[in-house]
Amino acid sequence: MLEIKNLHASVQKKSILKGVNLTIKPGEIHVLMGPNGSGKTTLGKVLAGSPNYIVSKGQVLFNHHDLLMLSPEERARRGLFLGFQYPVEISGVSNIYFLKAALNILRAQQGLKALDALDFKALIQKKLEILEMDESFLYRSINEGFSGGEKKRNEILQLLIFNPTLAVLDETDSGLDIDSLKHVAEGINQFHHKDNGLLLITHYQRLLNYVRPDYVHLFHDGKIKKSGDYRLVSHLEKLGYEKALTRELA
Amino acid sequence: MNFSDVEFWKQAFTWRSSVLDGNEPTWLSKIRKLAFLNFLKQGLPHKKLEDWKYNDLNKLLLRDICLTGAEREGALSVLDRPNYVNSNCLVFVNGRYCPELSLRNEFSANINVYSFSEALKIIPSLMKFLFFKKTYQTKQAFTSLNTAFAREGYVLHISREVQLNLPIYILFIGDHVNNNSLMYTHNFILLEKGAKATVVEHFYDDASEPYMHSNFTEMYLLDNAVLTHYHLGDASLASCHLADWHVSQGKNSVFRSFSCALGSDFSRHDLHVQLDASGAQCDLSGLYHVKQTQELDYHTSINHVKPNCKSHEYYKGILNDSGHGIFNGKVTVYPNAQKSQTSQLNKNILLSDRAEIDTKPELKIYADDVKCTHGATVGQLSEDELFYLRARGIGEDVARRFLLKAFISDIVDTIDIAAFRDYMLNRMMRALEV
Ligand SMILES: Nc1ncnc2c1ncn2[C@@H]1O[C@H](COP(=O)(O)OP(=O)(O)O)[C@@H](O)[C@H]1O
Ligand SMILES: [Mg+2]
Repeated sequence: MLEIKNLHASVQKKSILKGVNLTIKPGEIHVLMGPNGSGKTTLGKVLAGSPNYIVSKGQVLFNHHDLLMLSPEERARRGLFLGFQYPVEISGVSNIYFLKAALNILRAQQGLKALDALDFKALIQKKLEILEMDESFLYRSINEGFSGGEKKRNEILQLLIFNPTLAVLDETDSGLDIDSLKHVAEGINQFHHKDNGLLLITHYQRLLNYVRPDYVHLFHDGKIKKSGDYRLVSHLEKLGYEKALTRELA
Repeated sequence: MNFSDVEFWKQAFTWRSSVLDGNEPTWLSKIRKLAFLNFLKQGLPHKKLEDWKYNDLNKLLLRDICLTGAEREGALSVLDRPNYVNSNCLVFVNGRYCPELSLRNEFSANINVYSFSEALKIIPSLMKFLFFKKTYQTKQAFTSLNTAFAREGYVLHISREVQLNLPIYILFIGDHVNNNSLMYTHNFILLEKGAKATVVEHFYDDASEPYMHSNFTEMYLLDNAVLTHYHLGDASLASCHLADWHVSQGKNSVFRSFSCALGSDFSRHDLHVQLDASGAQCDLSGLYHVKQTQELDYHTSINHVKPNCKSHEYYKGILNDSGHGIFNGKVTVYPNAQKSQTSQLNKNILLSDRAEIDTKPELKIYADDVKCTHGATVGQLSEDELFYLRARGIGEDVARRFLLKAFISDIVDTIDIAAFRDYMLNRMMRALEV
């Protein structure tokens, strides 16, 4: 469903992505690990269509369409979801208003009728329970004053509500205490099924105790240096990125 | 002829006097003369006056005027009252009072709601009392002209301790307005001790040709009175809107003002508050939006004359295209006005690199025990916020509107007449769309 071919991108004239190749098929869970500053977030943002980045080379096909030609909203409407590493606070827009508006746009795209307030409440109630989120989060401004963990749970709440076909989750497991991590993992598992794809960007093995990946990629200096199955994770964990990379490069 | 021509004003005043002097009380003719002399003494605004230095005066003064009366044949077409109006409504069409379009409740003798001309007949001594409060001595040329010429407006007088719970709606409608016509309205609100009221002034029209409306509202709040005043300036982009509000406050009185300015090619709002007795407080807020080549100005001035008064100002603006906004917040704290508290905040979003805002606090503090804060910001919509919304499937235009609505939401939420708030917000969002 996603094919990234030799993708190069830069921000403010600084080249960040230097030839990324990655293919994700329906039902697969991929994990992207790598040191800070290697360009993982950039990859997520480029896929989601952030205007901050310039793609200089390469191609991305999403369900056989040229993803890079589409506006960010168009990408989302076609089923791409980015869970932000740093979810943005938007004061003055209530979470529930935003979630309902966005969901109804996605539904319209799929030819479904808009949900009214009651139906929406019913839908969201179950997701809140999975994440053990208090209903009061719905009535606060988007992410405003949320703790780090609450922001991440709010991203997963959106994942469950919008139910995309491909989700890129950028460090959704960072900065979570063990309970929050379990809820986030539970959300991810609820979301995942044989027809959708997941790209998890993470630093830690912790999340992978709950979510079992099909592929693990080691990302460094703007590209994937090594790929393997989940055993690569423990290998990395043991050696650290530096050593793993030196071995790889030697 | 245009506004900058003083000879024209002299002729107009002479003509006015010849027609009206016999039909009005002599004291009023005298007041008008004094006001007009005051106008001649002050002259028209010019660039060197601090109060007018940011305005594009050509936009105001080089307007043509004709004095043939405000309306053309076939008037009375836009007269559906806005849906939020359900009671207590006085309607003025082209500056003239229209009893047949107004909705007037039967009030007890404690509540007087009249048009200016009715009030001259029914409560002449009160009118005389109000006019002799000497606002004709104002430094503003257009305020003097208003006093010299205005023959209509509304008068609201509420007796001691009487609380009016339903708002009074005042609609100023321009209907089939004659090209370059000029209309004046002059209003009074007098709340006796402990009285309470809410007034909404709403301006709109169906005009496609230029005209000008000068509106002047004098408000007097005696001790413990509470007045909430709303204004919605939503006239067509051809019009010129001058709004003048003078407020004078007694002990422990509370004045709340909210103004929303969307319309008019040129609009100027002068809000002057006298905190004349201890414990008085005023809370002024507003939202404005300009686009195309609109120019809009909020000049507020608050005088802390006595100790223990509070003033609070919060204005937000959205400026698009080549629109130009001016916000000037003047606060003067008199030497013996100890324990004054004053705060001021003006926030702006520029949506175009041609849009402009001049924002300036002007604080003159002559007392030492004063709490004072002020701030102004000018920014753009956040790209990060925009991207976050778009990444969820929300189209760019809708996302922008989301964020703009969010930007104004804290002020919108303070409006406590729900129907008016929704109407205003709807108009604002419509203005932002095109
Ligand atoms: N908007 C930006 N402006 C300037 N530099 C940026 C911007 N975004 C990312 N970078 C730089 O790009 C590099 C990769 O960042 P990022 O993709 O966030 O890495 P990672 O997520 O792997 O930690 C870093 O050196 C970072 O400083
Ligand atoms: Mg990152």
